[in-house]
Amino acid sequence: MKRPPFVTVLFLALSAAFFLVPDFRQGLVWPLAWPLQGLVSATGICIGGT
Amino acid sequence: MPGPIVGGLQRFLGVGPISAATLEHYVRAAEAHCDARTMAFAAANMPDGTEALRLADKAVGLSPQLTWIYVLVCPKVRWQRSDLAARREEIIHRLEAWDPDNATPYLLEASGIAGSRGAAFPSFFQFDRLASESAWCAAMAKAFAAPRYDSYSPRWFDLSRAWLREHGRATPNSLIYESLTVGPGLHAVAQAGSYADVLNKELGKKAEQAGRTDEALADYWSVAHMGERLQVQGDGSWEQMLGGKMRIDAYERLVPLLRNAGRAEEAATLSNTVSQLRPQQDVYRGKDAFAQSTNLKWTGLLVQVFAGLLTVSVLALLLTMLYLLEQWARPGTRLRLYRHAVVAVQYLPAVLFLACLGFYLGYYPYAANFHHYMTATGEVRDLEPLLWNVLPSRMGPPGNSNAALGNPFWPYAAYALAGLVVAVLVGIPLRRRASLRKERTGPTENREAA
Repeated sequence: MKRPPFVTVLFLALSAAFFLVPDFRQGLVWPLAWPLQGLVSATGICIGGT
Repeated sequence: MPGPIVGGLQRFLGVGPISAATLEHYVRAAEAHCDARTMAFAAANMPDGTEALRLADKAVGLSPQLTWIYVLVCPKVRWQRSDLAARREEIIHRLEAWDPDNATPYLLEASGIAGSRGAAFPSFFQFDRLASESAWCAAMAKAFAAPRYDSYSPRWFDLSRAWLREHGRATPNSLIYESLTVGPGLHAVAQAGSYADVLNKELGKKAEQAGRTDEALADYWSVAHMGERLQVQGDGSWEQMLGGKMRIDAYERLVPLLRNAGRAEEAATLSNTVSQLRPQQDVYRGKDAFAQSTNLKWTGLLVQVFAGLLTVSVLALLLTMLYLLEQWARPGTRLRLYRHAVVAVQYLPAVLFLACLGFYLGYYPYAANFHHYMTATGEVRDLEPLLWNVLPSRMGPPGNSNAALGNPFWPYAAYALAGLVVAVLVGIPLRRRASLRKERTGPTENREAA
């Protein structure tokens, strides 16, 4: 088993740091929260169709 | 309450609506401490109508200035139950007594009358039959005569926002969930549009034909003023649209009547107002080409694309690492896949980092908007911008406000194809020359080696 290159570890650490930012986590939830998005889109369609 | 792991994960991610079990936990504490605000918040969020009504009763009993919470609770209750019929009337009369100058309780009363009749109630386009529904017309007449229109949405926004912050539950998702729980409901306000048509197309028209000009004028002015209140004091685009339509319909009937009555100055003002209102209505209906834009749709799409890339790269990285761990634990011959996995695990963190960076930069304005709305002071009049300013939902203001986006890769594809052709044309002679050189030098090298 070879030791991973420093750059790989660096990118991994920098990526992990993003997940510690509350705004990042909350934002990530939204695109994956399809049911809520469906509700909001439906509301938009209702509003647009009135 | 959710388990410690699920609850902790939900809190870490900031996801999910507040569950009924969680609400019950807060309700128990609120009942022990006579906390009327928490009870009102729970009443508006509780999915069970009977429990919501019980909590609203307790909250209003403790703090009568929260009586407006009934407006949010009423749509949840199954009023068809015979034991609740009298209760509904009592609540509506309580609301009317508490806020007599507001049209909203009367709109709820009218909506309740229509709802209690079920299929026996006329369709909202049968104006002649609606005009003979005396109880419904009487409730609507009170709503149209009320000097104010307040759906209580600003009060609800203030209460829910403060509660979410106090209890550490302020997330974009929870803010949107709570903002969607507003007002007396589209159905109740939409019925005001039907009553406006009853006055314009049935009662006012008949009075006009019978020569009772003053009566016709009173009917049309009543519709016009209700439309003005919906537009000026309403808090949503559909109130703006409905109010605008009511005003246009009423003013167009008022103008000839006023001219005939020798009131040319008033008629001219109303005529100009109609000319001003029509383009405003067109914006809401998506007919104003210069109010359309691709920006909102595109930024929402970018955030979702980066979120997808991020998810794929995380999954790919995890799977590759699991595969390598499994291979290292089992000595033996390595497959070709192993060599690819070793290379992939070195490059995937860079891909993941770029996906995280792209997503964060794309989402940042939405996060900044959320923090701004959570702390902004002053009365909130329109909650709808929250839907497209806090969440990258690819939708914008009502109406067809998104201009055609097209495919950004079509113009690029032609140049990319041309570049590819040039690369191949340049590459072929270079490769041929390299292989010729190898052929010439090859035998010499072999001889030297021998």
